[in-house]
Amino acid sequence: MNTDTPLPDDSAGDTWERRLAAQPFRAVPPSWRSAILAKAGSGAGVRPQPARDRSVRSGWFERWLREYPVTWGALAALWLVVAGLNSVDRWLNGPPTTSARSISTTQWAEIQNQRKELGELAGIDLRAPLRPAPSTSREETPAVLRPRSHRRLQSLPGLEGWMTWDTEPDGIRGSVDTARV
Amino acid sequence: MPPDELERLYDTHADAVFAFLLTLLRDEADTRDALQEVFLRLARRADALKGVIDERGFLLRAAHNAAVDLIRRREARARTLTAFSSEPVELFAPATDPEESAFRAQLTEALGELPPEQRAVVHLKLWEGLTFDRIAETLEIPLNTAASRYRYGMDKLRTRLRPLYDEIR
Repeated sequence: MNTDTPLPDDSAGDTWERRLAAQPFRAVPPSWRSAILAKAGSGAGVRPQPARDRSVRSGWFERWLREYPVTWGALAALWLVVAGLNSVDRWLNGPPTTSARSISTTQWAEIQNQRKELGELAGIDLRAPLRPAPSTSREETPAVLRPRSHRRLQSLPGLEGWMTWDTEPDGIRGSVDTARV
Repeated sequence: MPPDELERLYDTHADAVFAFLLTLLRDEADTRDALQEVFLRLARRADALKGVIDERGFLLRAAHNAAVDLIRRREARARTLTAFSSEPVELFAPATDPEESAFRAQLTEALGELPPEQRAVVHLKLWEGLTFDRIAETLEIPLNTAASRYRYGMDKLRTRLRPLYDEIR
């Protein structure tokens, strides 16, 4: 017993303590030895279960690949050919964005000509340059602010032709067609 | 771990680990389970003792952990462990002298009346001869806690057994 820690109770001189320490403990039952060591040995062999599962899974994948080697090989060769052609085409022609832009310009000039001819036929002056039509997407169109009652009047069923109303800056003015009443 | 190495460890340290577990658990079936768990864990790890200088200390620590695990797993039993810890269990070797035999029986009972944490410290100090430093390491408690648990445990044992001891002497 060493006394590396200077604590009051850590002394070996107490006869009472020595008396207690002299009491011999029971030995481990002899029959346990073989049972415990056998179980420990078998338990050590059971542990690598997950590794076996992994090998089973990789075996299944390998078998799947191995069953159709020609098909997988042909698919891989085809993919290589397509990828090669694609890169050669890009190298020869450059990026495809310029051709799309020229087609659009040509079409625009043709539309301008057709419009001019139509104006001449109809006797309307359509020489003003055509501007691209405004976008009709929901985000770009500002919502029309008007009273909810106005919308309701316009949609009253069964009164079409009987009543007319105008929307004016200071409110709605309505009139009734008395001839129909 | 190779089987022959496991056998060597068992033959060298099983008695000490058994005694420690029996003191802690005070149940032979639980002690066997915990001892088996200690050797099972050793067998599963090929390098379990790599870098270990003190095999006995390592095994006692593993035994303590196994006992704590066992108590946690069997929580219902663990609750009764303290209550029934004074149940008769043979901790010590049988003695031919009747007075000595009576003293061992009283000591067994008195140890059972200690809280398990004090029992563990008293066992490691008295019967394994460990210093408080080593006890603190083994049980993963502060040094002062180990010392105070020992002092409280010994006071209780002294109060409980001193009359009988004086009578025998």
